[in-house]
Amino acid sequence: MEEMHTKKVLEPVWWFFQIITGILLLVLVSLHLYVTHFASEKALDYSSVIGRLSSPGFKVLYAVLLLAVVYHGINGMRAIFLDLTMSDVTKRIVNILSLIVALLLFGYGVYLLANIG
Amino acid sequence: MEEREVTFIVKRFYRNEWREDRYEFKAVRGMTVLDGLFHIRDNIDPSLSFRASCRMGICGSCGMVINGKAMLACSTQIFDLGTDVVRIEPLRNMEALKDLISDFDDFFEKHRRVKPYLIRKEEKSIEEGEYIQTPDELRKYRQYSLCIKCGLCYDACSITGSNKEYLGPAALASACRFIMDSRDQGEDERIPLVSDHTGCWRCHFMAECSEVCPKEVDPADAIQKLKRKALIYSLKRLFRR
Repeated sequence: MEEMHTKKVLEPVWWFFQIITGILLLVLVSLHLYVTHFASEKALDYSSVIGRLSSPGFKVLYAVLLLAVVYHGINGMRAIFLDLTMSDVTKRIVNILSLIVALLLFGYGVYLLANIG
Repeated sequence: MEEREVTFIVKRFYRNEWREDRYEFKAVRGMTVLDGLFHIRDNIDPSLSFRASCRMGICGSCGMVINGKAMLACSTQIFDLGTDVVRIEPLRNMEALKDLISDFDDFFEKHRRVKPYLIRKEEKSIEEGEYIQTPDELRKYRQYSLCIKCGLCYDACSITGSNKEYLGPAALASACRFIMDSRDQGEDERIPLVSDHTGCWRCHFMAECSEVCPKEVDPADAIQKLKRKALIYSLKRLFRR
């Protein structure tokens, strides 16, 4: 009987989080669009943007949005790359590169959020 | 009887070369594309090769691409196509052998790989009788058991085209059929087979496989169910460690 390897156990979990982040994106992007386009006419002024991003609540909201965007986008790209015929080594490279790019993007975004305001 | 002049443009493969041949003949109402091909072979060009057997949409032998869409030639009426020019190609995502005949070896090898048979931890003896199943238990997988292995879904799936290792809609639907069968106990063997890079995670639910399926097996639905089954199975495995 084939033993289920950890990587195979995790693959469904990545898929599950892809769905969760997709739903999260629907809510958070709608909220973001509402705040920046409908809530106030001056919402996109420099001072308004800085003021919003100085508030701890918005910082957390945008950090969660960033996490969802990075996860959903990078995992989606990874899935598209893995749709191509490739060797196990190349698959591993795709997985590792995806993780590095995701960490870099999220880290840089959080760094910016932490230093605004 | 209504008659119409039609043109069949057949993409043919022979000795590593592709070519297109045009055949013009009078089609009558009720004539299928397969009837047209037989007419060409019997009256115009005896060298034209294609597979056919039952001529009633049961055997799945005459799958081919008709005007860009994978169909069974025996179930497709020429007059229903809405055009007098019918372009016919062999199934894509498979090697062509000759003319409209595709090589199904890879397709069936993938099917074999998902262990398409009942797996029991303990077999009952004949004296103990059959494995009993209620009509409700049968309904859970019956739809997936209607697959005739015609390969149309394999042609329609874009991932099958881009990833030669991908098991494909038919094999995954077959795996789902057995996983959902109350008599089967092979989950521990089968789910790991369909839950890796070559399995159900490659499917992006474009559902073209279900669109072309002549038996309404709905492989896309089966694959989504497999994903759910694999997730629950994996979570159980994670917490069992």
